[in-house]
Amino acid sequence: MTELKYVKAIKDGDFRGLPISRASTAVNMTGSWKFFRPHLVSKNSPCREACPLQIPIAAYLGRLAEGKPSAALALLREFNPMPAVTGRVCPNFCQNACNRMEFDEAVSVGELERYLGDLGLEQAPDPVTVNRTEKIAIIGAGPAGLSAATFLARRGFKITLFEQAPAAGGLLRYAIPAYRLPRAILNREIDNLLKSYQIDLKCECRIGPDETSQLATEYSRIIWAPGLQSSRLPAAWPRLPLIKGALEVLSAISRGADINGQRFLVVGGGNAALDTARSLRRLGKEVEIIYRRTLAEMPAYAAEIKQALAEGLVIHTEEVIENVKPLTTGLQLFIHKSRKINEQIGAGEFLRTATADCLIAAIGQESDLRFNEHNNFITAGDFAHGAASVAEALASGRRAAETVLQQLGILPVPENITPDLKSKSRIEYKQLQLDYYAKKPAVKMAELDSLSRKENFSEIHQTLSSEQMQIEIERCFHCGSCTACGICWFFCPDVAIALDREESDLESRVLFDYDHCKGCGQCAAICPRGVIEMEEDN
Amino acid sequence: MENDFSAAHAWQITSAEHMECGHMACPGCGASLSMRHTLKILGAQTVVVMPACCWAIIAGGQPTTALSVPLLHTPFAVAAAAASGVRRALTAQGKKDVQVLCWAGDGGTFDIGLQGISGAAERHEDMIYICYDNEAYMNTGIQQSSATPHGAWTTTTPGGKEFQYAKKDILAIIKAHNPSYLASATIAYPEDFYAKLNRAKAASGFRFIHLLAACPSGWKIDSQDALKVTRMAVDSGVFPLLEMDDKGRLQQTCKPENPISVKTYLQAQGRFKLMPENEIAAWQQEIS
Repeated sequence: MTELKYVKAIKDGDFRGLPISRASTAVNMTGSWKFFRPHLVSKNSPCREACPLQIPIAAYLGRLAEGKPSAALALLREFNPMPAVTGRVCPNFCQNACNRMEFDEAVSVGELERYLGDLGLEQAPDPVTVNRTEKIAIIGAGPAGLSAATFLARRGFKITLFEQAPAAGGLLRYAIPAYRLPRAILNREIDNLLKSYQIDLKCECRIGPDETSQLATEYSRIIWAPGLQSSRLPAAWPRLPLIKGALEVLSAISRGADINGQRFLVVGGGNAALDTARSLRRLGKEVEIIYRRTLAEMPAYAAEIKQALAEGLVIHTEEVIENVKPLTTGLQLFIHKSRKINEQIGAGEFLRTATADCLIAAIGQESDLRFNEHNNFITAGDFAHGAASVAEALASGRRAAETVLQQLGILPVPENITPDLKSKSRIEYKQLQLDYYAKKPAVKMAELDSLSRKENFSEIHQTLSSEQMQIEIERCFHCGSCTACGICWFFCPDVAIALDREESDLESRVLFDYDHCKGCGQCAAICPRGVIEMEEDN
Repeated sequence: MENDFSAAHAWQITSAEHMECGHMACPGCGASLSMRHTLKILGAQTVVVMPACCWAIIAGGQPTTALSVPLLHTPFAVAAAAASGVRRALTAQGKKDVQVLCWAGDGGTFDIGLQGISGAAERHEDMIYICYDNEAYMNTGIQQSSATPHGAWTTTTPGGKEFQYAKKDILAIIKAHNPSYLASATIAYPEDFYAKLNRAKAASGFRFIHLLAACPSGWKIDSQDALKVTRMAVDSGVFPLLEMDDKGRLQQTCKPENPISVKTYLQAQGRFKLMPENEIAAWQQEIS
């Protein structure tokens, strides 16, 4: 029973002769009236389900909205070791699933991730201590390798990372151009990981089949994540020195090597094709792209295509190069209209000939690295799954780390580092209650204008300012994740919901007073994020 | 930010409560939620005067009270007169900063208390008069009042209130008394509610606010839908959110972002089930 609470406003004797009530109605256990009671049920947001890394976006953005960026960053890092990188180069699977799309426009999750990622460059992850004797080797210091290293180091392992290039980063360093990912950002992100997680990085160390057997005796487990290092060339083309792969060219540009020739033709429609063409143009070269399908079918990220077109890049679509002949200087190319034959693209009618100093193929990647099959080997990254996004590579690295932990008996088998999203239901747009939200356009990052940016490798986008972040964060509905926003507390007619503002765990802040809750269900009906459900009261 | 509602910052509204849990309101009561927030805005320096109405029951039986501020119960017809007395007594004691809140239902305002309000308004008594309107005599068993909209079922209008007896225009009646503040509001539009109550608090003289407060049992709706349906009353234009400007004209303060038809509002409630189509159409005509 609640103690009698006396109302202090009236002094004894002020109203002699009048009946005066001084006890609080809190003595009435009105909770006994109810048949149903509210409780919190967190759900998966669609953005989280769409994310290759399954980042709890609604929850970490909840912490950011609350004004606790460090707590938000810590939660983000639990799932994503490189937020400053993915905040720049990820195609944002989350935004394409955002519930807010049906309301007005998707929340700029990528920009918010980047904001936190940049904050993280100044705040290295908490250092770990090595407390396990098993040694782990990881081949390839690209995103998959770095991710595997991070997740294993957090469990106390000593990691040795072998990299054949002069510096870590893999495709992040040797393929993605600096205007998308400035090297200072990448260096800082990688340095933070190496330092905080005490990862031993061995560069310019190429591991071939001979070395792998050696490694197998030295290390308990070896994660093989060398990526795909070379571009595939069409089988029909002759092998000529002036025909190059996109990765080779991008890598040369990244290393600052001289690029010979003036007129370039890039074949392909993926990100590698655009990256190569746009990088070469920034070096003052004349570049055009030839792609065999339509613009809409290009596998490159839509935003990149838009930027490339704004920079004035010429993309010839539905054309193929049927034959290449060497000239005394340069190449002669025979360009045909593309033709669909049984879902395959072949050459149709002849269109024209063209000359170029160099022809670049950006039609896919492959690896020339081989290793001897061994039980202790776990493959990860693009090498294991084919070319994919950085987020997918990071996720693959995490899965490899998980496999190591399970094989060594550190994680009992059904337990994972990767969260099990199947145990919770997904929250749909219709389950949200958005009466108290106003329509607001998304905040976009400032962009360098297309004329000045095509001359140099300056980063095209700028990170949101803290004011812009504040505006954008308030657009997030935090679907399925309690943020202690207080709307349920505000609308409770029975004063039966308390908000513990001191509690650090957001989901534990909302407290239902079941002694007084009458079970009206308004909190469940009003919760914008759909996390309050009514259950039968026994 | 405090005392200024926004969906993203609802938690920043003052945590001070002047209403207690365990009160006797039905589940989902709009009147109790309205009182809770009215007192959050007016603060502890408030004396509440109320006639017979739902709230006379909600406040709890002897020896309990649901309010942590003084509350004076009065007979049905005299709330405004009693509040005038309380006001003058406080003023005589030099307690000018204490607000007097006269809190009455639609019965005690539209019907039985009307002469008392008229007198207090005429004398420009310094008080805030809030009529929480649930559109019938709810606590005595849902009898029709002059605030009951036409077409609505009550126990005394089992076939629906006749169409020619429309709801009294209480704002026009009070406006004719030249009050210092006049508005209509509802807690289902919290930004508007907070803004108006704060303005009323800052003003002096006779201030009148007409609040629409859902009654799940009287309106025949589910308790969890009370806020939604109240919001629909505004969105359909049945209960426009108004405020008197400095030239004495009533202006709409909050235009609904997603307007709905009167029919949608009526169909969300059981009490309008018997209302004929032609009357609904006529009502819609009246509004638009």
